[in-house]
Amino acid sequence: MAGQGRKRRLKLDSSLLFMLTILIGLAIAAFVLHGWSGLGDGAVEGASTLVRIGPLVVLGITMAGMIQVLVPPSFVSKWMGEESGFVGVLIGFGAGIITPGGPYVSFPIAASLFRSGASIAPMAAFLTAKNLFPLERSLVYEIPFMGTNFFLARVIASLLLPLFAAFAIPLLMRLISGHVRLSRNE
Amino acid sequence: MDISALLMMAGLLAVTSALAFRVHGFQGVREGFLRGMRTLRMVAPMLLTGLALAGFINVVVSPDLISQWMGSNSGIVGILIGSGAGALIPGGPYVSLPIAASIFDKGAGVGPIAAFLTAWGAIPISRSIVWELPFLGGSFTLVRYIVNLAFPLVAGFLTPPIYNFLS
Repeated sequence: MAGQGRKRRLKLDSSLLFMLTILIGLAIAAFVLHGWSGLGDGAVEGASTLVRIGPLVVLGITMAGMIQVLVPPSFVSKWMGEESGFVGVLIGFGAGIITPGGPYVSFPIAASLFRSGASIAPMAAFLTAKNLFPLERSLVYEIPFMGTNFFLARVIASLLLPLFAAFAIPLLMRLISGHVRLSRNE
Repeated sequence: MDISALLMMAGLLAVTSALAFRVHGFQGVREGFLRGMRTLRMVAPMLLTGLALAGFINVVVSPDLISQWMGSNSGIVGILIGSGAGALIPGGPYVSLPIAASIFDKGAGVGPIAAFLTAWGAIPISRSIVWELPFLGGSFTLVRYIVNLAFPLVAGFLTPPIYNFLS
């Protein structure tokens, strides 16, 4: 139990280390490009994003906690687990289209579904559909800015991509790690 | 717009909490809240780093630079530039779609713009690091990213003929 906890912390730290490295690289780039004002602008920009997004993140994560309580793991593993097959992929696909809001909604939901026993394929379909054609973004942004014809053409062109992702991502994960467990799955 | 996002999120939380209360009583609401806080504690250090990182990406990669890049290149070069620009540009749909619309007006092709929007949605460098990595972990994020790398090219090549057929 204690060993498991330590292992998880170690993994978390390697991701954090990776991000800190990129942060330092970007800060240097900002300094080289724009001098001290570049550093200041970056810090201010980050802080203002935190103020704007922070409350949404807390609400989104809390909501995902409620969803975890509401949707029993047995339900998730039946409809989105290893045995769910193509139906699970289609459920993920549909859920991705209708899930509203930004990354502060979709990623906490994805993480909590994984934790309740969803398998990789349906979650791959969920995230791909959410990334490529979420209903809310389409109605509010893409159709007004780009027109219906462009929107429809782009959607038809990429309609099969969530299914491809649902097929290829589990396969590649199995090839890379020898199993389809998530590193952070409890 | 931020107010409406906040209201929407508060509404969603209220509905899910009410349902949790109805199904499991006060204990259910408490459990949901505790689970949320556990996730928050897990992702908080990475999210804070990520938001600082996103701030610097905004400074280093400006939207102006991206629209200059996109220009009116067409064909495979345009599609590749569109894919790269879409992967690099930070920010939500309120950033990417105005850029897409303005370069569309200036004569950029349907293919490069479809590639740009697809790359921005599917292989966003900053969103993957800031959001996906903390919540879903390194191996899933990396594999999803690799599998999605070709998606902007698919959209870039297939969208124009369908667009011409529709209009």
